[in-house]
Amino acid sequence: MSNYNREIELALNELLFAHRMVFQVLESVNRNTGQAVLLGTVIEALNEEQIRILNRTYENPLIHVVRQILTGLVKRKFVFIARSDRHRHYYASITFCTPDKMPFVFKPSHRQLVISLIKDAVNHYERPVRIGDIDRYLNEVRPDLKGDCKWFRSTIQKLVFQGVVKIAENTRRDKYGGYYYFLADSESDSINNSVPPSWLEIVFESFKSLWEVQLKKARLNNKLPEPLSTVEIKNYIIEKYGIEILPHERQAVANAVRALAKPSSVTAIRKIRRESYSKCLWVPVGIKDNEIDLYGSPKSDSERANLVVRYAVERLQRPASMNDLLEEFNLHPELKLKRHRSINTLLNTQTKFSAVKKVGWVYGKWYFYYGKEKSPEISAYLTLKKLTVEWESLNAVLELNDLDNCLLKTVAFGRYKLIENKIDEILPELYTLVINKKFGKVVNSEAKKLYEEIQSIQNQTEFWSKNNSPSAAKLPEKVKSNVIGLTIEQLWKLLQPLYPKALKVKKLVEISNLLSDDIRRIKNPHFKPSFCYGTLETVPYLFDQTDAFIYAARKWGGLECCLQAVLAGSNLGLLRDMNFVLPDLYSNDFNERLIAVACLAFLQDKTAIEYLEGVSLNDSELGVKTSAIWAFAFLGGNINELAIKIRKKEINKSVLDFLAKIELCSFTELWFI
Amino acid sequence: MSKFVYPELEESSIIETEQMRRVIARTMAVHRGSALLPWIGRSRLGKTTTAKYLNDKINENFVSEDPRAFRSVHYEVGEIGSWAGFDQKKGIRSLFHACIGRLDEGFYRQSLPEDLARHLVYALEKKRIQMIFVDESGNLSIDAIRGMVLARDTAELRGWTLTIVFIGMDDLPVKMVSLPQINNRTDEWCYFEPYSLEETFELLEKLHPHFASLDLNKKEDREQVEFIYKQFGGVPGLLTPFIRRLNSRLHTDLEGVIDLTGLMAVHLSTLRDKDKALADSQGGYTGEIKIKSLEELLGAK
Repeated sequence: MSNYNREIELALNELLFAHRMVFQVLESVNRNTGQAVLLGTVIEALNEEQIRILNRTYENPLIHVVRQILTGLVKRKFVFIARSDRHRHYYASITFCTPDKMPFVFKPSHRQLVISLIKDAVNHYERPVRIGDIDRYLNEVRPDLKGDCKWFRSTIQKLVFQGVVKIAENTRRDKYGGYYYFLADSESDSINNSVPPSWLEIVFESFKSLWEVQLKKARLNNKLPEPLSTVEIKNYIIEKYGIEILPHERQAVANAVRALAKPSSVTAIRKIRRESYSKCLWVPVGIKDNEIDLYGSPKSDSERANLVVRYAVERLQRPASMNDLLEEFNLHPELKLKRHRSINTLLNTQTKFSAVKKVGWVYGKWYFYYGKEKSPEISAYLTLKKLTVEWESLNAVLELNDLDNCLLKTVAFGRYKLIENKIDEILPELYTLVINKKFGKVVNSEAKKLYEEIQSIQNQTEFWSKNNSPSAAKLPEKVKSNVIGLTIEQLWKLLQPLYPKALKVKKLVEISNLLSDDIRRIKNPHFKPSFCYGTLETVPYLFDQTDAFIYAARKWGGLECCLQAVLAGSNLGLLRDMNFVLPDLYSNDFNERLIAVACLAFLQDKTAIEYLEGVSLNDSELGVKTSAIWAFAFLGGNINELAIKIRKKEINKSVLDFLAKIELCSFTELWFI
Repeated sequence: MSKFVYPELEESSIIETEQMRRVIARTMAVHRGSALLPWIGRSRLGKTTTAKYLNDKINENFVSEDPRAFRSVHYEVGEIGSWAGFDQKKGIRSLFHACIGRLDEGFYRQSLPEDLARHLVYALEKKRIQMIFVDESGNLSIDAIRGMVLARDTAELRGWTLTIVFIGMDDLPVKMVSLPQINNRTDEWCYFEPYSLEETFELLEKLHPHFASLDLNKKEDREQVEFIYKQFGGVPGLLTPFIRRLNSRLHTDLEGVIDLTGLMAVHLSTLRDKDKALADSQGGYTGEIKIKSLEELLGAK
């Protein structure tokens, strides 16, 4: 042996360096693995230095070079091909072993494995097999082959194409069914010709065995069995036969179950409907309603959501809002959603098919109802909700208490008028609803409570007006309740020069998040629901312009701007009617004049410009004069013309200096004065 | 039942006394230097009345065209205890509310004390307010006083005169001297003392015509004044209610004649009722049920 090796060694020395190097690599790989190896394994075993040498020596790609070297070595009989699987050769060096003394057994190829697998499965089940059967066979009988037969599905298709494997039958007996396979050269005809079960048979068998499981479970818990849902049957079939058993058809299980439930001579299943569940439930024919638990545990998240709405509606005796539903979840923890995170999206999709209906939208809140949606009680409740929100948005109690803090009597009177107007609007409508008994008992008490609250506020306002009506001033009989609103784009443009973060905003919605609830929002009176966004009419809510200006001025404004915003903010309240401010421009108290000027500046009514011009020319107080000049410019008045008039009349240096400063300012710069 | 009669309306008027004149003169003397000024003194000695008097005088005489003229504000401050936190801001806020109007909560929270002070001083300039009387300053914590001093310093920095008069008793003087930043800015101290016999007589003369007819050189007349002086210790705040009581009984119990006995009767009737009330409150049921201990109960058996 040693002589033989020495001879080989001498012969090897005559080889080229690169060939000798590949030979040595092959030999070491053979020894390491203990078997003949493929070309790829040899290449993988080359180290960087060896690859560099081969690349430097030969121009061809590495794979060709190594293959040519190995072919050359085979020709010179230093290497032999131990086995060929199609075009793939397994190489072994003669120093590792000789061809007649192979020390190992080769693993069968994947193709051979799959063929034997089909054969074994057919013998095991004693019928042609489906993909799912093979999968199950692998899992249950031959788990050791699972790793090697990972891709058997595609191999079976190839084998069918090559004629090695044949198709026995189709589960559905049509193009949608799944195939049963057997080997073409199989000797057992009895097995190959046995009729495999059809899809309907599979479904029915599965249903029967699942029903048995259900009965056992019910007996254990001492309850009646619950009907089965289609999803439960489907999951059971998949668990039993594998997912491949499902035909290539949408809703194959549902269709099959429905077919089994159709009235005919072979009807095997009975359909059952449950109000809270939008889909069908199934029980075997012959099982009566009193033998099953019809209202058992919910079958899906959508049913859980429906039940939550139902319970909430039953408890509250009115349509339920999202907050009510969340509260109901706390009362019924067993109804917690399992797959879905939010009930909101679930109800949005489910309401089309189930007993839950969206019955109305009141100021950003959806209301859900369970049952008939066209009931007069529902519409009455939604009206009540609308009136409640409108009333609450007025914040009448606070507003009324705040009237005494208002330093301008006429403005306070205007604010009182605003409350009075709202009461006059709401109270008759509410009265009609309560008197006509449009609500159920629970809601009726809620409505009565609101009615009494408004009435008590009405009494308080009447008492206030008796003691505080400004007698001398001529005030309009009605107060204007319309408010100038800004869309979010307009607000964004306003904030840009003042608020550095506004420049970084990528989506306009972020502005709302940044400002949170700092600026009052009002309902857009011109709103028309539309899919086109970007116009004033398509925005449901607007920002109150005066409130936005006051907010911005307080936060980022200069001394004058901020002072006026503080004065206006603490006196105006919700009043936006200039006519109730004007009388105070001519008050004897300079404090009142100063506040009136500030209010006019932030009400942003252009008609106030002429009044402010008069104040800046004629007022005796320097502070009021300068404030009026700023307010005049802030409202967009022609400051140059005003400056000419003031310079003719005014001699006070501080006023003239202030005027000169204002003259040089743009509108944006006025914020920082 | 006799007919119910409401008390007659009184026209409120402030009688200028020597002490008031002295305090006002000393206050105005240091005003241009943006002074901090404590007015200290025991209760009912006329501090608030003096402040009200001076405040009215300043505002009555204000003429917009006069560059020297200014306005003043007099207000009672509530308690800002040292436990409250953010006392400096609260002190400035207190001035803002008194002089300008209510301060928005958001604006207050976001602003630093110096910002608030700047806005306050700008508003004071606008309204030409140069003097602020902070009554019951004993309620303020040291930090709250520092906040007000910050407003005064900011005003000085902006070239505006701002005198803050701290009116109070309790530990206000101790607070004022405990911090050098406050103590060294305090340009003048005014202490209100009880009136002397002569000053009491001067005040009584203006309060009631009966005393105007008295002569201190006469023994009988002097006894009447001395009786009042001894009973009320020259505290003017106590004299006015006594005169009211005297007036109410003048045509009933006193039959239109006021002498020493009458004065004593009026005063002693109040004192007697007070003593009775106090004596009653010493014993008897006080709202707590006292349960005897077991030993006491056994001992009693």
